[in-house]
Amino acid sequence: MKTISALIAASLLVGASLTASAQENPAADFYKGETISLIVGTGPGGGFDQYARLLAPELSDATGATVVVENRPGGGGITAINQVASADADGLSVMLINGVPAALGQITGAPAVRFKLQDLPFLGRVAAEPWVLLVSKQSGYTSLKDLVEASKGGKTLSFSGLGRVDGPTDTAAVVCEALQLNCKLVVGFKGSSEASLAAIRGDVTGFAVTDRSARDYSQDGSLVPIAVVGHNRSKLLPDVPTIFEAVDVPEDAAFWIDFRAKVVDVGRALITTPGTPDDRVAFLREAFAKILSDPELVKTATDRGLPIDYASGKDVQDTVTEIFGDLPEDKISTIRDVLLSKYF
Amino acid sequence: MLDALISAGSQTLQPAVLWAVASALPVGLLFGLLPGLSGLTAMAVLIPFVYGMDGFAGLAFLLTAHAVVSTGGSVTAILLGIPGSPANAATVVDGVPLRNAGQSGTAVGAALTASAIGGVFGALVLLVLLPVLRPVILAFGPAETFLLSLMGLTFLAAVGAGSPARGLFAGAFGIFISFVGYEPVSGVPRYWLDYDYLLDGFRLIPLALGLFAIPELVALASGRMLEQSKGELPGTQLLNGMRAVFDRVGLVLRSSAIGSIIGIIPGVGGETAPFVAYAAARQSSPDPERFGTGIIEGVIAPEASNNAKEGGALVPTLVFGVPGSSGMALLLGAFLVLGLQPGPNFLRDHLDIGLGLVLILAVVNVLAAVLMFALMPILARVVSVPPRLLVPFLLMLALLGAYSTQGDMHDVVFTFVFGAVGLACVRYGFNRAALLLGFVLGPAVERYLEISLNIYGPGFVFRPICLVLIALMIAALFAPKIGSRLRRKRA
Amino acid sequence: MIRTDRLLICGTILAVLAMVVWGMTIGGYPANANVFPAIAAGGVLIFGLLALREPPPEGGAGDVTWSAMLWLVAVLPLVYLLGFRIALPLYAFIFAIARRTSPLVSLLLAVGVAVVVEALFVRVLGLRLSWGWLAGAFLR
Repeated sequence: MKTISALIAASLLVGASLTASAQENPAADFYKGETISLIVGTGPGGGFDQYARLLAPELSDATGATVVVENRPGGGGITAINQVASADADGLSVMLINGVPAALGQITGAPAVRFKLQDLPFLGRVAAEPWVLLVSKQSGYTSLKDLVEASKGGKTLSFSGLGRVDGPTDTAAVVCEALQLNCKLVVGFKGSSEASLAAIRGDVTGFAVTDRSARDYSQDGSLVPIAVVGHNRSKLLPDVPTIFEAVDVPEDAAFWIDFRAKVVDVGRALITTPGTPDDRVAFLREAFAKILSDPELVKTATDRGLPIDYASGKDVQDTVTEIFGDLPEDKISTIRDVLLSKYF
Repeated sequence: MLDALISAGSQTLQPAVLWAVASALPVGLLFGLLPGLSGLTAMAVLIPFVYGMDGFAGLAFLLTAHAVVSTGGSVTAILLGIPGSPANAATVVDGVPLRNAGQSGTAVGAALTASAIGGVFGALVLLVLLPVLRPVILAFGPAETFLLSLMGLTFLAAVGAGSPARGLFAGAFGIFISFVGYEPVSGVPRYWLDYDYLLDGFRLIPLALGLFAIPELVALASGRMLEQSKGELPGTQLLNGMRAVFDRVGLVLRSSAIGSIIGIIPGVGGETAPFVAYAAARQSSPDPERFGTGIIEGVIAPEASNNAKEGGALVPTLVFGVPGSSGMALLLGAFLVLGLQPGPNFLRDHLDIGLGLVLILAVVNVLAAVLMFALMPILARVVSVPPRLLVPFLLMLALLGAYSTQGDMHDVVFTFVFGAVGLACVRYGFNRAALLLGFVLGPAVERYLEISLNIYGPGFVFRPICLVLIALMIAALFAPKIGSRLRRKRA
Repeated sequence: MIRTDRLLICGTILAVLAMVVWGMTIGGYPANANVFPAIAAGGVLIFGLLALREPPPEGGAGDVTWSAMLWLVAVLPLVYLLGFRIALPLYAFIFAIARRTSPLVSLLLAVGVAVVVEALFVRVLGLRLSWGWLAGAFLR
């Protein structure tokens, strides 16, 4: 732990001193003429790929390096993180990761995970979307309170999902745990759109998605957004209350919502290989800070349906440290139980 | 509706849209012709180009490139015995014996004509269903998807020729290897040997290329020549093939309908459509034993269905924002790029765009076939290229095609691994088409059975559509036997 | 005389059964993850046994030679060593010339292959093709 915070502090110091003397920067010299791989853990065409292709030319301008987008799909993005985590520590492999499955995969000990997020240097966060719980119109419920009461009345609530720790399912799981609901999670759907169909059809009570998808799915009222699983309301759905506003969350249960919200805060984050020289990490962090706070880029991105919600590399690193830093062993096993087995 | 249709028509005739179609059509056909490059890759490559385009033109551009891939792929499947895209794999089964009999022109003519009709049929189905789409899709839940996939498996014995035991053995093996990788419900990766590549299981493109392309290349490298058309002029053969399709309207429509239905239902997987159409054609045929030995019906059925399925796949994409195939998932992304929001309200707000896409789909399918007919005199010459020049060229296309889907060397290596499997299949009479069909359907059967049991319990089989599907399945299993017994009695 | 097709069938059956048993025991997969592989393995077993009793099929591709297979597989190490962009044209050249093609035609073929690799796969598809172990070491 200490070494990590020391590293962070050191890199910050270096970063600060570099801004002062940007002219003679060894990291800047290093990147000139090199080739940076901007890696995404999905195939071409998806959201992550589009973000990467948007950022690549900007990163190239900012660093003087050639930036190539590389698609390395597999294992829900886990495979590519493994590869970046064990690549040459030269700072030439940068990856846009999906924070939720990465963090939860690590905590639940998913078989293929061979990285530790807290060891990876974070360069910044591109976007983070809050998660929203939706219920089916067919279910007859219209608010989170309805769900709590129905559960108290002995009803079982069901939620559809894909895998266990890639978003929809774990969101539903932490809500069920925090509010002590009677839940059954139906997983295995092929994509979030298929999971949404199951809810529209009324096969399940509801399901959870990012605020953006929630807005799309709820346009015609066949699905009703009932709560944001976190502390802040969504900008896209300003009328939807947070879970804390919707019901009384018992104090000891708030841990679950906080935990899930922190994982969401990691978001679509940029990482590089552990052991990369501090000056290069600082240089890349600064480059992304400049790129992602450029109003023009933010506008282009938003127009393409790619919202930008920048957070600095240090902030994301702090979030990751918070998630993994003070988790005692027994808490981890409780989390595993809730996410992997309790509600299935 | 009529207003929207007129507005859609005028939209389609805009110069920008015509340009988009004209430029995407050859790209789609080329990606079809080249083995390993599929509609998915075509779309992924073209997406960056739509950024500057006007909304409708952009969609027309992508849809065109995607919809005509299997038209181009049928020619490669027949002339070279290598499916141009996975959807053409079933065409190889009878296409190659036809070629070996000197009838490649007839087979290509029939395939292209069937593709065009199938594509138009798919577009028409889309048009007719537009107003009632929601209930249709909602009626097909996990339980119905499971039974449909299971029904597909009952066709395993009917794809291709040869010994049924060997066919089913290959099919069962295909099903088994489809279970490598993450199990859908528990999320446990199975049989992955701590090897990251296997987490998501074996991939379809290396499997299809390995099974079909490598054995063909080995045969060519062993000194076998490609048979050239004999007898009639190729032009006459093409016309004969065309006529053969029009003589079998019932078959074409039935196969197209199978394609449409499979396309509409998101879970089943469009790759299965041509196999199911092939098997259905065989089971309803008076002489099923001639299938696999070079019968024109064996080319018509899969080619009609694989073009029809594209229309079907557009349905859930437009109405729910739920992509019916992986290509449609990319199209969905393009909608967002163009500032359009597919989903429940899309057709209410943009009916003209929906109808415009239907029109495009119908038109480009016909155009694609016409263009391929026109190109045939040139393309047909590929078979007269000596193997010593053809093999390295095709090998390059196959290897880079496998590599390009994910940029992963493993896919190239596994193309060779499955190539060995394919060689063994050819040598010892195991059915490659059955292996591929089992591979595609296995995961769907497992996934949707588990989900159905989770949601409804075992009682799901008593849902009305499920009962109908079960009845159909039983009929399909026993009808051929009863049919042949009846015929024998009569004879 | 042992028939090769029987060997293949038996080998496949044993391998598949071994994997299923492994998954149920040492692999420790949950029950639902074992059901379908077990069913498929059952199919492999039953139809494999049926196929064993059948006479061998007539060699559908009897004209296949071992040397042709070796020739094809040889492209793989070449690609690993030199990368697609060098290996594929080189392979085409060697393949053609070893089959008594005139040097000029072989060269034209190699150039054609190189052009397609560069134009279609590198430019249009934007593939990032590595240079392989050997060529990569020199080009760095």
